[in-house]
Amino acid sequence: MRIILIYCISIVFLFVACNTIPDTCKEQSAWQLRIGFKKVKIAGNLKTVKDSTFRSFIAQYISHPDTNVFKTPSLPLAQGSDTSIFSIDINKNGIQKLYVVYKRDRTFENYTCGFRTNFTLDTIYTIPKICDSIIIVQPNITDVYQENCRFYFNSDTTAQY
Amino acid sequence: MFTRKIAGFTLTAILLLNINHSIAQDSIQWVRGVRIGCDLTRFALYEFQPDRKAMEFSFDTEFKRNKFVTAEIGMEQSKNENNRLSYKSSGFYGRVGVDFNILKKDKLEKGRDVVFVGFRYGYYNMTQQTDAYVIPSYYSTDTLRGSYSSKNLYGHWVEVAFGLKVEVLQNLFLGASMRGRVLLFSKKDLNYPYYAPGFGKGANSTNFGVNYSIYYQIPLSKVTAKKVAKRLPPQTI
Repeated sequence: MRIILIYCISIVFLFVACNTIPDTCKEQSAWQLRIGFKKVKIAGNLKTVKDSTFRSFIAQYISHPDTNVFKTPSLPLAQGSDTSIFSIDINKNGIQKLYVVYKRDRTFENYTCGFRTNFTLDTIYTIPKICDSIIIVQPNITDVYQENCRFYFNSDTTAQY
Repeated sequence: MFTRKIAGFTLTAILLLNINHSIAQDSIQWVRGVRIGCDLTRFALYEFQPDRKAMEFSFDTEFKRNKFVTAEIGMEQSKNENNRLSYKSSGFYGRVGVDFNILKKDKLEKGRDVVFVGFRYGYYNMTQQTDAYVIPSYYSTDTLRGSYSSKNLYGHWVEVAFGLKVEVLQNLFLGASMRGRVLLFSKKDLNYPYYAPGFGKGANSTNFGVNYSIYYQIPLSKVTAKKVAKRLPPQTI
């Protein structure tokens, strides 16, 4: 009985020793600024806010015009500076500049992926102003789909959107 | 992996073949002394995990029948190199604790085989250094490169050990043990240790480990049946 017990334990030893779980690795581009759009309608004292989707959204990172054009409002931020500047065009209403100011710090993922840059949003604004307000709802940029900021368009003042 | 399993089974087979043998010295009941061990898996480690080099020695002695005080010391070096990271570390560790022989040999029983449950306190001290790292970016000219200088780290842990030591030749033992480790406290750095010496993967707060060791017991005093009989009350003989 003792022999069987020891034999079983030895086999468990071996399986424990040989079992390793590989690290998984995500690209830095998985961490993107995600923008949501809201339309605000004010009728007397009643204010209604609705989700909005636009017929077209085009953005390009200004410092790297050779990179792809982004056609969805998910924008990878530059890790070499504290500000990323994009040219954006919503519903073909002309090109504006989108400034995203953030703080950067470094975190360690694992020994397969190495280090990664974390972004924490500070300020977002456009020149010229294209919407009534921009609110940061989730300052930490994560690798899961989560809105980081919302652009609010008043249907009276920014009717063209 | 396959070679490792074969090596493991071979050692296990040697242990099993010898578990019930007895040394042909009928008059000797047990031997007191210091048992010095060397963990064979640490030498084999380099073959299967070339990014690690380690060695470990152990010392134990029976301070009361079926109770052993034990100490283990070792060193470990590790490195990790890929297209994103070039890292190296080195350090040493120590463990102290007690083992309890669950075979419960009584004072008149011969044989020195041990199946034990043990408890350990462990400490490691290491330095780690990231010689180079690369963080690729979505934008081709935005890739970051850098390095981190050498940092000293340490940690404390407790562990439970379960294993056996079998006398295959006079005073020569083979043993295997499985360890469960729980980290109590460790000094942090931006990157956790790749392998914390003696503890295992630095990413985990709990780790399992396995040892296959060879031991030699330096006999300091032999307890014979005559000596035992003298110590025991007459009715128990």
